[in-house]
Amino acid sequence: MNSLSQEVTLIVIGCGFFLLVAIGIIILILIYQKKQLRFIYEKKELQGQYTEELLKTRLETQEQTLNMLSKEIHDNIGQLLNSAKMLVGVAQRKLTTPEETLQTANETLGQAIQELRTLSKSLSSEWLEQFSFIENLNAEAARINSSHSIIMTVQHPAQLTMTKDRQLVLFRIVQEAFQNSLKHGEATHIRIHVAQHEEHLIVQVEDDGKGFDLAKEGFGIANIKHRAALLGGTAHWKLLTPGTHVNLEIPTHT
Amino acid sequence: MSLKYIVSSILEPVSYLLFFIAILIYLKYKISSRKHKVLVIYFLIGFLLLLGILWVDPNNYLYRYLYLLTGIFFSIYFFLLFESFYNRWLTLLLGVLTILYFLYEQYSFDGVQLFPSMGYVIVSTIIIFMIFIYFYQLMTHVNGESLSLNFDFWFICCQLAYHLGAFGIFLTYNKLTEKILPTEHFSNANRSLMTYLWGAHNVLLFIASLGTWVGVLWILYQTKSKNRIQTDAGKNLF
Repeated sequence: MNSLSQEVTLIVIGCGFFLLVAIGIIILILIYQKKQLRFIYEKKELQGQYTEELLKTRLETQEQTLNMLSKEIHDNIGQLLNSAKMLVGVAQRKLTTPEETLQTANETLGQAIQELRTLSKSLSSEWLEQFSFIENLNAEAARINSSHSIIMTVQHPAQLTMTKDRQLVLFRIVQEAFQNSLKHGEATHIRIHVAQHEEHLIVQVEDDGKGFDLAKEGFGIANIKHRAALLGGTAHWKLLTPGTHVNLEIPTHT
Repeated sequence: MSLKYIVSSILEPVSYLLFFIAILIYLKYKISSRKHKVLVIYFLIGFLLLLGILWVDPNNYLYRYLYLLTGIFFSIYFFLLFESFYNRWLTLLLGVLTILYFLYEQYSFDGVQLFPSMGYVIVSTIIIFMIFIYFYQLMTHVNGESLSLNFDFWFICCQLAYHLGAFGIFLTYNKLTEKILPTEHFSNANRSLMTYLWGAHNVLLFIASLGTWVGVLWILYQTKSKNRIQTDAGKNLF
C-alpha cells in the first residue's frame, strides 16, 4: 500500500469518525430536548392541578356561603314572614268585615314566602343527591317570570346525562349568566337553550339587553370561565344587536 | 456507466436535486417561508452548476462558484433562521468571508486550477459554527414542539453530518491532488484513489439528502395523521 492510499484510508476513517461525532451531537440534542419537554409537560400538569385545586376550594367556599345564605333566608326571614302571615290571618279572622287590603297583604305575604322558599332552594346545595339542573332551571324561570317584567324561556331535553355535582356547577354558571343579563344588561327577554349531545352539552343563554364590554373581564365572566374550565368545558361570549349571547360547551363526563 | 462514475460524479448533482425536490415538496404542503425559498433557489442553482461540472473539463474552477454560492445562500438562510439580533449579524460574517476569500482566490490565482480546498474549509467551518449556534438557540428556546416535526432541525442535522463528515476531505483534497500531480506520481491507481475519496464525499452528501427526505416525509405523515384525527373528532362533534 503506497503512502497516498494510506492517507486516503486515514481521511475516510476520519470522515467516518466525524460523522459519528455529528450523529452523537444530534442524539444528545434530541435527548436534551426530550427532557426539557417532559419538564415543561410536568410543570404544566402541576400548574393545572394547582389551579384546579384552587378553583375547587373557591367554589366550595362559595357553595358554603350560599348554603349559609339559604339557611338564613329559610330559617330567619322565612320564619318572620310566616309569623307575619299568621298574625295577619289572625287579625283577619278577628274582624267581622276584613279590609280588602288586609286580604291582599295576606296573599302578598304568601307569595313572598313562596318566592323565598324557591330562592332558598336555588341557593342551597345540601340536597345535592336530588339536585336536578332541569328542575332548578325551570324553577328559576318561573321565579323570574312571576315578576311579569322579564320573560325567560327555557328549552331543554327531558333529562341530562351528567353527575349531580357537575349539574350543580353548570347550574351556577347559567345562574351567573342570566343574572348578568338582568343586572348589567337590563334585559327584558332571556332565552336559555340546552342541547344534549353524545359527549357534551351545549347551553346557550341569549338576551336582548344592552350588552357589555367584552374586553373588561368583570360581570362574573371570570367566574363563568373558571367554572366552565373546572368542568373541562369552554365559555364564549358574542355581542348581539341588541343583547348578548353566551355559549357554553361542557363535556358530560370528565 | 460504471458504479465508480455514478458515485464519483453523478451522485453529487443527484443529491442536490434530491435536496431541491424535498424542500419543494415541504414548501408545497406546509406554510412557505422565505428561508426555505432561499434553500430551494440554492439547491436549484447548485444542481445546474454541478450539471455543468459534469460536462466541463477541467471543472475545478466551477467548484469555486459552488462554495461561493453555498456561503452566500447559507448566510441568508441562517440570517432568517436566527432569532437573536447578534446571531443574525454574525451570519453575515459567513457571506462576507466567503466573498472575500473568493475574490482573493480569483485575483491571486496563478498556475493549475485545483480543487478550492481552503474555500470549502472556510465555508464548512462557518456553517458548522452556525449550526452550533442554532442548536444553542433550540436548547434555550424549548417551545413544546417536538423537534422531529421541525424541518429546519432535520435539514441542519443532515448538513452537520455532511459538513463535519466531509471536513477532512475538503481540508486535504487540494494537498493530495498537488501531491499526485508531478508526473512520477500521476498514475491511474493514484487518480482512482482521489476519485474514491471524492466518491466518499458524494456518499456523505447523498446520505444528507436522503436524511432531508426522511424528515420531510415524516413531517408530512405526522401532519396528515394529526389532521385526520382532528377531522374525525369534528365528525363526532356535529
